[in-house]
Amino acid sequence: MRRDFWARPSRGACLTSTEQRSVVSGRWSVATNNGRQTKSLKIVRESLQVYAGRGVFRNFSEIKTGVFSFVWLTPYPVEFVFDAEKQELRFKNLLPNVAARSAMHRDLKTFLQARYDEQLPAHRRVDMKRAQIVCTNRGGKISLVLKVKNNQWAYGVNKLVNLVHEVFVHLREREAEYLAENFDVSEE
Amino acid sequence: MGKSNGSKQKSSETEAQPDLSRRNFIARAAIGAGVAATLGAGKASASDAERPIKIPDEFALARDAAPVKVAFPMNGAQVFARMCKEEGLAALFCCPGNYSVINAIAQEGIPAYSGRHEGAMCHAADAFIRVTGEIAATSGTEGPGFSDMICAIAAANAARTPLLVLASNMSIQQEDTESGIQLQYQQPATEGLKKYGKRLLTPSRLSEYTAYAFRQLRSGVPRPVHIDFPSEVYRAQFKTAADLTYYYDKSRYRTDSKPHPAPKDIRAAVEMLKQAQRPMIVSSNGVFYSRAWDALKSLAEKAQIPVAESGAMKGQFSDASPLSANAAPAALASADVVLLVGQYCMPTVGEFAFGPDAKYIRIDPAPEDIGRNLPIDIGIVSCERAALEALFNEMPAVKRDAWVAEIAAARKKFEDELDVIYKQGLGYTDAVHPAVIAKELGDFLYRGKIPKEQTTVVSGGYGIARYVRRWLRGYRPGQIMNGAYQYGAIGPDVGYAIGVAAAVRHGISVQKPYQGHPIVCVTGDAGFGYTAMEMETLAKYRLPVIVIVYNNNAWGTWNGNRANPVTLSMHLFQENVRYDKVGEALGAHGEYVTRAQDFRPALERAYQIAVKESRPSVINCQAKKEFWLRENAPGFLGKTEPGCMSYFH
Repeated sequence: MRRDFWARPSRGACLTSTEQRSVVSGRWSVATNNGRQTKSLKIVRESLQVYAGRGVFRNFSEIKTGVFSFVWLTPYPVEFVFDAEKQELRFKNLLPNVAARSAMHRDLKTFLQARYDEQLPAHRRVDMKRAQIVCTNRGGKISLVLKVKNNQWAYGVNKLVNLVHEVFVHLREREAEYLAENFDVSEE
Repeated sequence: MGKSNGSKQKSSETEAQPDLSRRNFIARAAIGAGVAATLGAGKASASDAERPIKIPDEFALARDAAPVKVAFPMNGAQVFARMCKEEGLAALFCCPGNYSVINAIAQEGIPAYSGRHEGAMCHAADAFIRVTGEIAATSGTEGPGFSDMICAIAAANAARTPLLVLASNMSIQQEDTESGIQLQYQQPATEGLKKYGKRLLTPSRLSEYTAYAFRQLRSGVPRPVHIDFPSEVYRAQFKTAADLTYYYDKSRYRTDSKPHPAPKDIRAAVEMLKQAQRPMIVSSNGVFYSRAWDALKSLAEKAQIPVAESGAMKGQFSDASPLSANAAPAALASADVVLLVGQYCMPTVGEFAFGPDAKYIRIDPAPEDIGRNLPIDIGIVSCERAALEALFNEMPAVKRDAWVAEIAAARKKFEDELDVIYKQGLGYTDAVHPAVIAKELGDFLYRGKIPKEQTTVVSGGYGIARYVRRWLRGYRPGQIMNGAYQYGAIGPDVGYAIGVAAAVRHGISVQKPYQGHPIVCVTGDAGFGYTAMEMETLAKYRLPVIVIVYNNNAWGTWNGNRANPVTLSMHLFQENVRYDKVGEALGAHGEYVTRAQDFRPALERAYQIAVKESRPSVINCQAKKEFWLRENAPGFLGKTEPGCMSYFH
């Protein structure tokens, strides 16, 4: 991935990077791009609503455009962000109190990296051609991000939701004490 | 120590000599274990040997006695016992108290065991049921005995056990008076912990309410039934059956007919299973209680659907099958359709390892529970066996080679991880690591001289459970009794062992082929502390139980407090406590294991004693609490496997 793809535009600050790219490429108009974003958001919203409708997510709501809140794997709500500008989906501040470069942080990064592994069955793997996993740690709060390529938003939602599920299964196995302390998850 | 039985004052030198006094014997029994351990004086003195622990002859007399034939006129206790016998009540576990009722039950020829604590004996009854599928009763005396049972009733309730709880309750006439002692209004105390309860008030309705009790115990989703007996009822005299209202054969007051599934529900489920690429069955309590293991196996094999087990007992689906997904946790998140069969205690979203896209079909005899906690896609109200048979009949044969291969790969991955853990455990030489206990026990039970399906195991403990359960396997129904299960009580394990050993001794139900064989109980030092006195019960009944105590000198909670000097000591015990000596003092064989290489020989010796002498053992495995720290790899393991990542549901 080119480094400048994610750089803020130096001119035309009112344009998002996606819009700027569109303008530069000359293929899409801004209006078209806004329409595309609306369509992308609609796909994301509908994909999430499937989980809410099936009872996987509870207390599901769109607290502002493109920002969703719901209760899922723990008793506490999580925040899911659709970021058209960055072409990414994000579980914001998913895991609190994880020190950067701690053993848990390192283990988590290793686990996430393994999600691309060719040895994983295809239905469990994240396809690098379609999405890229990013794990950020700001002030001890880990956010899980999926950078979505080629507007594959439905794929992105499905993969990120499944990814977070697998992260919590992994934590239940490796970090039972952490889950008990931070999420009131029973140490059964 | 003061004066001996005589009036002569003894010097300390004199006291060091062998002394045959009863006082000295009792004093030694009380403090001897610790002192002996400290001094390294494990051998009994000559004077002790003259007073060996002895099982009274009355035990043999009781064992050989024929049931007492009772006919009208009968008292209330006898009428109740007669109905229990006709209902097939398989055993009674109690402490003295509720005398008329327990005596009447024993005299009917129903195996009756008496222990040291009502709670432990209630746990025993729970365990007996969980490895046989038959109904057992527990009993305690008024107030205190009954209230001792509360934790065990709650554990049985969480495990959905059809446990018959009996307790005497003084008299109706004394109610609310506080006259004498031990009065308690019992039924509110079991509120929320039972399926049905009744204080019997009208003597002539005794048989009617006994019928209520057995209807509840033998239908739908089972849970405890609590009946309490005032003296006006159990002492009431009945000249003939005509003195009782509704006294007739059980075929008149209940039915063995079971709810069968609606054909449209079966068709919908078959369609979903046909469409699925990676379906999985979760087999739980209901498969055991409806004896549906053959139907389960037939369906799984015909449709190539892997099976993971959950629930209060395990072994309904053999781990020897390539379709067993118990030890394949990495594959669980791949399942796209999950068929839940008899999963009475339902996890909430996220507790199972199945992924967010998995669809759920749930088979359960209780429509009011279907959809609770975990949203469903298809609900089938039915007896589990009837539904599995119907699915087998409707389901076409399906090949799912890729899915079965994924299960096999996940199983291999899990086994490889276990090998790594074991090798890490072997690296510790200053104490016995739990991985060593778990691996060596697994090798002994399944890969040694004993047929792998032979030994029934009480799988208890807390920290040690996280290791042992990874190596435990089930090869036939009723082989693994899943400890305290969802209620999460610490300490029932030795009590459970009484019930399981009794079931195996008598060859009840699915334990028949393994009648008389030793059983294994795994527990921790914290848990052993609650019910250790029941080693005496095991010893006096000569129940061949090998109790493995994982002794890490601490509650399982200690590591959460390790950084807090104010609170840490609340989570610790004395170090190197000699639980083996406690066992010896109570009539069991004792082993103290401090090195990894000594565990297997100790296990072999204990097993031989169980076989040859039918005597219980305590294998005290000296560990250290620091094994739970992350820096001491593999540390404290998280989810308890194998299973479906919600082991306690």
